[in-house]
Amino acid sequence: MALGGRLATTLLLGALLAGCGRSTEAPRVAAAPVPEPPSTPAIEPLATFDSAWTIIGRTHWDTAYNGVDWAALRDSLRPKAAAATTQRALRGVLLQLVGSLGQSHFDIIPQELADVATGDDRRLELPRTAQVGLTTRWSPEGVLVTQVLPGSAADRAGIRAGWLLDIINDDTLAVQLARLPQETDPRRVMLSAYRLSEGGLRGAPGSTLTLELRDGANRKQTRTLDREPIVGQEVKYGNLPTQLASLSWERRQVGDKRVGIIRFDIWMPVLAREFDVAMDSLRDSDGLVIDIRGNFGGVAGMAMGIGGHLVDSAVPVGRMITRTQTLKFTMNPRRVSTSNERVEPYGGPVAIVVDALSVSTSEIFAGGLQDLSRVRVFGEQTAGQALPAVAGRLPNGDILYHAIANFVGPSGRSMEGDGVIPDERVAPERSALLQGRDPAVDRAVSWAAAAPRPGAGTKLRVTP
Amino acid sequence: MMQITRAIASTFAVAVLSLPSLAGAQALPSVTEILDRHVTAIGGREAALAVSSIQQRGTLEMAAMGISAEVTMAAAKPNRSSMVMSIPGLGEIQQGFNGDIAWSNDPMSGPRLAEGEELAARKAASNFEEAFGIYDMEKFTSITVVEKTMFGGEDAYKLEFVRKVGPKVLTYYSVSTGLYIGSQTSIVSPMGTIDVNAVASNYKAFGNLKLPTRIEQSQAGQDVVITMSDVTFNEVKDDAFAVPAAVQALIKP
Repeated sequence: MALGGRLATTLLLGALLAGCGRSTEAPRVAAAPVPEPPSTPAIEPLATFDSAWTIIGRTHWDTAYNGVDWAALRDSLRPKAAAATTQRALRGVLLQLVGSLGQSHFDIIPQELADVATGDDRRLELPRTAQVGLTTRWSPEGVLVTQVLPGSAADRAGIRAGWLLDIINDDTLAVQLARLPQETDPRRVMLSAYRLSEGGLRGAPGSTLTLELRDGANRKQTRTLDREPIVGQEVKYGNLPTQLASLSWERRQVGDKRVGIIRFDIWMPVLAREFDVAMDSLRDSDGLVIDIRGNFGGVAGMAMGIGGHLVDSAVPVGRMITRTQTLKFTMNPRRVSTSNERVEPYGGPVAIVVDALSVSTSEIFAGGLQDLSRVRVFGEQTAGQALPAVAGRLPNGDILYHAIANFVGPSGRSMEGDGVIPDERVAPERSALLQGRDPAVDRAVSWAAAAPRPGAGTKLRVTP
Repeated sequence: MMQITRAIASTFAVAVLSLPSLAGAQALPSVTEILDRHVTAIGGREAALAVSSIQQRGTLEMAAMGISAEVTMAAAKPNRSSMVMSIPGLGEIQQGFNGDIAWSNDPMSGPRLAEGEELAARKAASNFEEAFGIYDMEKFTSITVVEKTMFGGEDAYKLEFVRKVGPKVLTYYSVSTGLYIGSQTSIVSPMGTIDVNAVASNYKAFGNLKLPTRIEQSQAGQDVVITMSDVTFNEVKDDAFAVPAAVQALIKP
């Protein structure tokens, strides 16, 4: 056996798979569409279509293709691909192909978006790298500002959490939302509204936008702001587009208890070290809150390493089921600090805060630990889009993003569909936001401060 | 089918008894003949046994994710090995075995020691000379010539290696060249037992030995291609197998 073959004993490819929300239904990580010249000629349309159809046909974990007649679909779409004269038209056919499965993690990523590397000046031309510092969520009252980044353009302009965002550059969000196909699942509405508002808010650095909002007294407020680069580390992972990653942590005092709070917005390995550092700093906390609202996922294997900070034994956070194999996502109990000292994994109470924009790896992580009874989950039901996926290149240069496995939690429940249902549902309330509170995190912090520390002999609820 | 039922001396100074059998109408060569032929094809037993350590550098491509990594692998007698793989956007994945301790360390999962069945399988499969097709038969329950078949697009002899510890391995040797051209086995890992298929090709000469420079490997439905570009012999330092400080913290005194 050749030495090269020894890699077989070492490389765990399952850990390298992507698990981020890039479905045709979910908002793109990039949020705003990339400029796509409509006249760019189609490149190898038939070879591209055949490649996409064949790859999914070979790798989809369900040989019944979620009820889709895969051969008939090829017969119906292939002539359309052959007739496509532009890249845009070809992408339309490809999106029909992947969208027909009705599952998350099937998408076509345009080459011009996928190939922009970190540090590449072209990334600054993409209309997604700057914003004004607002986080929004849909609510029955409208698009609600849930967070204003301190020091941002929005903050400096006096915009506050709890305001309602009505119009972005003459586009009325409510009108745009009403034009979309009617959704009965509020999570889908949440995703669509986010896509609309984020798509409008983002743009090139230095570009200007005008917002029309309603303040806490429902008075109309108009602001004209310059977009500023979004804070975060740029990361390029494989064929996925360059993305921004950020993590922050703080400690909050609740009576005589100290609760640590860690927030991060994507599961990318560049944040793993920062998470380790945060854990070292918060290890003596009486409770811990992990806020992954608006975290669209990332590298699925990270759930094993981050989860390992919270468990004392090597138990799976779930299983990835491909057509031929089942891989256990076994968490690695983290017994070494960032200064290479022996420590014990965090044993205190842990709350995870999620919402409808917690997608994929976020769901794998939260749902798996919830199944194990290791955490208590607060917030809103997650997206239900949690399928391990890969991102390979097609002959026309675009990236075929496609799921290759189902993912089930330790209890055997699939994360796709229902997602994670919080133990305590806490929605963003406008009145609370206007008072400077964050209901979901506040509730999680209160619980973490009051919850008893699990005993040393407490066993995780592991289902064989 | 030929089965080795007990160990006797072989050309590899190990114990082999080959009981010839028939596959169809055509007699198959013995285990010893197939393994001898491979060793001869890569440069001979004397040249192989003169190597006490090896370092290989190259790249690993996982097209399905667009991942391209730099890989450095080292191995030394009797059973030490290490690997460092650098993946853009992820960082450095390190793994090693120093004869007693098998470990891994990467940004996603952190430091880890292999234990139990995983460690036992790793120990059993770590034998330096196996990189050149030289086997210590004492470590196997049986080695069998299964059949003549097609593998990697050519006629091949299929051998089944059953270790005393760890998963069995099917290996394939080219009928025309005698060279090892691939294997099918499973690995014991934290993610479970995973089937792994490998196809070896593009043999090139490095010093007195020929080694495959392209390994196509598939596991769990995903394919990787490892391309080796640089090989050095007998120059690996001990620190290539040193256990990183983060892993040392896991080792109980």
